[in-house]
Amino acid sequence: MIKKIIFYIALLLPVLTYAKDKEVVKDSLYFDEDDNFNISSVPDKWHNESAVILAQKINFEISKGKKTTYTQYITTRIRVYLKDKSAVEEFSEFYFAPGDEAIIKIVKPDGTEILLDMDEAISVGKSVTIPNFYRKASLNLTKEEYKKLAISSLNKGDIIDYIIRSKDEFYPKKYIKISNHGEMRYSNDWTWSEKLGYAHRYELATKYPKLKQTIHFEISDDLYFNFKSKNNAPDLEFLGDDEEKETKKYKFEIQNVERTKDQYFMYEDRTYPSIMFQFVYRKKIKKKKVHYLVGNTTEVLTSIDQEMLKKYARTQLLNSDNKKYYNHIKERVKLVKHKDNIEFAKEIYQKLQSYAFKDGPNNYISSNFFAAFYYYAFKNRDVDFDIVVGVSKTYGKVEDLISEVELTYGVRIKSDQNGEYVYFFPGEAYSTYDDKHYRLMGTEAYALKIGKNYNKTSIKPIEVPNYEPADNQTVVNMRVSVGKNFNWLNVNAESSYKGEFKSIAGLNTITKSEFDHNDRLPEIKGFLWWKVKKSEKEIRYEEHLLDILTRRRLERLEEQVESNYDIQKYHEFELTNTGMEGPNEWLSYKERYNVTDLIKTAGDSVYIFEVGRLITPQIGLKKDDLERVGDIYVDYERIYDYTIEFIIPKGYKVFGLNEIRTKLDNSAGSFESKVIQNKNKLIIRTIKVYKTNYLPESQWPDMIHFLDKAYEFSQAKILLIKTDD
Amino acid sequence: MKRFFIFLFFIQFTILQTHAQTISYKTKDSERIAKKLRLEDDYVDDLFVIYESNTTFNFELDDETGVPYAIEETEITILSLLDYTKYQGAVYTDLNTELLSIQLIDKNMKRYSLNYVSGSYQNSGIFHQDGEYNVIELPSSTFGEVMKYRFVRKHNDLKYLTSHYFQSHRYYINNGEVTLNIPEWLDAEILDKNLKNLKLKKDIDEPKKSSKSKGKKKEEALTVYKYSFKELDPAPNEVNMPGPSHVLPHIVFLFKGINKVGVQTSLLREPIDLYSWYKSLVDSVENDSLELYPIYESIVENASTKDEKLKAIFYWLQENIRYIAFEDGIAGFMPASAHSVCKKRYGDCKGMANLAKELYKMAGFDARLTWIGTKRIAYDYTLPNLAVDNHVICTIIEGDKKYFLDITEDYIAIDDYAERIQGRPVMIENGDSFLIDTIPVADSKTNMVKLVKGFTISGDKIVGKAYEEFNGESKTDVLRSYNSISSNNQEEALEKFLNNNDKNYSIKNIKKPDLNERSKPLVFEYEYTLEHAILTFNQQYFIPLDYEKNFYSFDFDKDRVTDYLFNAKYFKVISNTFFVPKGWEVVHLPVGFEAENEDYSIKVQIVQEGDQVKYVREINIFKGVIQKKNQLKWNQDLNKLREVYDDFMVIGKIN
Repeated sequence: MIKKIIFYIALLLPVLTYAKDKEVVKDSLYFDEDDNFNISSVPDKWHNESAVILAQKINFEISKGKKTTYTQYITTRIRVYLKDKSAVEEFSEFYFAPGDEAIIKIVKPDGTEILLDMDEAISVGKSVTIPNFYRKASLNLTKEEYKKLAISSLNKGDIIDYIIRSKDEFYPKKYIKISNHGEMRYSNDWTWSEKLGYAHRYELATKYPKLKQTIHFEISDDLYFNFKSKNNAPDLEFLGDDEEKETKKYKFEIQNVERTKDQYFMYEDRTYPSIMFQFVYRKKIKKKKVHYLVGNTTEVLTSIDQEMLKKYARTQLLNSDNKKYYNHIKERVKLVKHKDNIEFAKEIYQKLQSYAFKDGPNNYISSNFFAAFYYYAFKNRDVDFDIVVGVSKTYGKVEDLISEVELTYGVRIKSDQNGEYVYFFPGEAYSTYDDKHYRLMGTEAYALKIGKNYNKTSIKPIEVPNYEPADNQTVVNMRVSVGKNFNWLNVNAESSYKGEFKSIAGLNTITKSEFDHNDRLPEIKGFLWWKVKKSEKEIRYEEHLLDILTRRRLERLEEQVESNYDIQKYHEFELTNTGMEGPNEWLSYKERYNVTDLIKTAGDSVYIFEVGRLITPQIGLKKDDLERVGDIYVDYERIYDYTIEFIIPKGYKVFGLNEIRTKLDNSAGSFESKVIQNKNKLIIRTIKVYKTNYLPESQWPDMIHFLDKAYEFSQAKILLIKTDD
Repeated sequence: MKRFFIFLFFIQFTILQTHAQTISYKTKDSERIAKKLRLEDDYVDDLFVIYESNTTFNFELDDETGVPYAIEETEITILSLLDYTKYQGAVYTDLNTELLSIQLIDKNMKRYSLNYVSGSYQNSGIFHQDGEYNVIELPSSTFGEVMKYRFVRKHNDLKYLTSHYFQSHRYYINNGEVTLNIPEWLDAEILDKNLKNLKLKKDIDEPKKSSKSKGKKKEEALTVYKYSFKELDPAPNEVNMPGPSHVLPHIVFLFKGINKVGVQTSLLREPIDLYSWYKSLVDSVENDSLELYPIYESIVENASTKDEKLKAIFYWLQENIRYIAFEDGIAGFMPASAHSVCKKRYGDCKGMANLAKELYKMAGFDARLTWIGTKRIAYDYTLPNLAVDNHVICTIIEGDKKYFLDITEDYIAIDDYAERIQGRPVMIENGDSFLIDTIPVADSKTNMVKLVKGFTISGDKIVGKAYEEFNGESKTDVLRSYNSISSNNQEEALEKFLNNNDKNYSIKNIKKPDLNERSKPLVFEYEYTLEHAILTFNQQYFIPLDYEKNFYSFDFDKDRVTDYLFNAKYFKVISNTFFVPKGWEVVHLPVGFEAENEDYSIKVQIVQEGDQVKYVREINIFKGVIQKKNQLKWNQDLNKLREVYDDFMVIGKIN
């Protein structure tokens, strides 16, 4: 009973402390003197912008509180010049979380300042979607309600200047929480891992240009602080210690940040300046077991060396949960122990995947567990086996690694047959192991060879090979004939997919009736979902569900075709191969439909066939796409291979074939169309190859030529003219 | 389960599981109906239907305040069409509607309370409203079995209980019943709306002794209205369909007064009662003219005539006051004070209209608040019911002329009226009484879009000049869209608008008009080049005469059940002139066609005049509506129009 009372008192304590401190927070919130926030004019180069961020600053303060608590203040101040109506609309509503303090002032063109009454804010109610811009990561939405304020007195030409401050007091049992407000762009800002702690990826470029931004860190001197500037962002500056408060102070400052631009083939995290940082509480780090990628508390960690990564990755992969679940799953899936190591690796891939997706395609396999599973399975084999440790190329390079949340894993195994390494990465519901999940392909990474102890563990840099374009293919064979009175075209299409394409196509086309992961798993008693002997109700349910799913698939595929053409009727769909039985198998399906908008007339005896559109819409670069900011990132090398067999109607001849023969080959890719006429059959084959996954900015013209060539073909038309022959 | 695999598989451990057999059960025909529906195309994808829905309204007087209220009891029996699925239902409440209970009822009529999760209900575009949804989830289902739940709502003020709709938003109803027990003391009229063509039976049972008034001191005489219906499809949810009151089966409540010994109260007996209530709210608003006056002076600073002042105030309001909607309790009906709206620079329709009225009064105009139901609403001011209107504007009376000013419409000219209010009756403030009038209806030609092009061929391209003119609502749309785009994107957006975001259609030398000017036609002129549009073969060119091809894929689905309402009346004329190059002659021209009925006309004329080919296409959708009955005809006419679109002109070299 006494324990219970103490427990409840402990629960109440933070609430009481908070109530007392709220007054202090409010007092300290008034606009401070900062010359950056006195600027009211916009540089000439940004006169045509919608809004300009004149100044922005964020203060992170994390200091030791009483006993074991920490106190965290996050203060954001932002001053934005609203140059047009669209910007006024954008800033016309303001949301803030309960407990946070906010002050907003409007500065009129004549310098008059209007302080808004924050008490006019109203509660938005539970479960109302809060715009990302204002959302606070740490808030428990089910319990608390945001407030929103309609910003008054706002006009074009005004400056909005606001401060928002959150205070949090907490016991750092697992991680240091960071909550924040006022980013101009929320998406991609946060990544987290429940156990590893929070890391903050902060994009400095936004949809509005920014004159100046500072970020101040004042953090308790017993915290580990990792920080990395990326994509030409400036470095962090150490300002000194505050011995009394037992904190360290740092400053980050950036000026003249241009706004972001929507572009094809871009990874934002590799294009615009950004910073990534994290704080870790020291007491959770035991001497031998390294749960975090940290340096020491005396200085900021700005890069991760090989040895640190070795320690960290080894500990992470060999954690007790991974071992426990390896044993748990191994027992259930009954791995066949092939002698050949690669065959065994394939067996693991298939069984692990079947287990993970036995209930449906919406699950996922964590790369950490995937790699650990392979490690334990191969532990006692005589084999050259490495864990591949890397950073997804969508985030950055492994040399820029600064937080454990950026890490992703796979494995490589040397083939006994040819001495080549074969790579395995976790896939999706309808992947086979040839889908490497492109994130690590072609990147610099590390090979970790785990030994019996730390000293016998080694790590070395490697280059994960690139895909070959042929690894990822979409192949479509179409047989096209003219319908009654030339009113439509009859299309019989067979589409096949391989590699990355197969995983995507599978989600769209495979239902449980065609491929059930459970069929690969042995019967294990005690699990409801693995029951082999089903009740009448279960059988009925499956029949009805399959009926519904099959109908919905048909509607989905019909809509997919309709997004490219006007169709008169979508007749049928047949999945001919799931492609799930082996890596080199293709997922294939057949479709039959009538298209009405590809055939046009020019009088009674001439028809115009818009044949180019059959390769589906191609990227049509516009004027604003021609200027490029940043390097070019293509997710993966790939091939689109279309063969169109057109049955020439009796009494007609085709003309204009030379115009559709085309060929281009450059550093970005190749596009070729070949045309053969064989009696009444016209065979057109186009092959579009994305040859590389990366090009420097300077080679954007190559990409333009390559994309334009494919676009031009998609506009191609041929003539069908009645002849007397 | 652990973090390695996220399973979308939840097992509910509730006490209800232990009573599964009495909670979910078969009736004599439930399995048969489930089997039948599973085979029908319309329902095969449904997981549930409503087997029975019974709603009863009882009316009572509050013992202390004497205020009448209604208790609505609804019992819904759902029938499962798929095993293991959980039914979710929602009950809506607001400040005037209280949820008294939600319960599950088992086969033996035993009741179990159901937990529900509440959330705020928000319509897009409304800043704040008081609606809440309360969601319940029933236990896992079995095919062909039914489960029943009930909820009880209290409508605290009969003014706000305006109507009752029969259909479910999601589910087919096999059998339904709506019962109104109207006590003798309540003077009420019930109006039937859109009940034809339903499998419905209506019974009115004249006064009898109430059997429902448990606990009441005295039994009351009741008039019982009973609507029994069956096989009712869910309410249609189609794009651009008319407002619900136009098409969905429902009843409208007119609660006129209370006649009871000692209590004689008029509720909303006549339209004047509705007006008086609105007026009482308006009169309680205190507008501070002194605070407003400096603003007024600055607005009309450069306006010397009355006409200039009329426009200056209207356009200033559009540009400077943002529309933000509030629909919570009385705030949904009472305008904010004029000076507060002006100071905040935002308001809802009532607040904006009130500010307009005050400013116009300062300028010496006879300005009045005016209530209106937009086109979405099927009723007029003969009904004393709050559902009659949903909007407030300001009317200026200048001699015989009235200006109906809707301040919420950005970039509209003073003489233009948005489609949504055209032809709608209005209730205009007039002291203790009110005036009824109607917003003028504009002809579709008011919204004319005119596109004039002159073009010829140059190599394998088409080159030409274009003139585009926008009027009425088509102009308002362009101005509004252009000005809502961030300024750094406006030029690019404008180009994409003019060339329909088509890579093949590049334009240059755009003569751009003032995109803030709303009183004159909006005109763009530019030069263009069109690639990949023509073919050449054997000394012949194949050239499309109409590249815009409006409505090319705009067919109506044969299953559509409602009229299609365009956002505005449509009138577009395209006049293309092709200049035949010297040394070439026309070999083939497409043939024009005409079609006309009460909803629309389509005319295409193609003629050759010397070295010019003139193509004129005119599409007029007179009232901005294509009625259901004309949709098949539209599809047939569109086929013919497509034939014209898809027929290329051919010119050949003269030998």
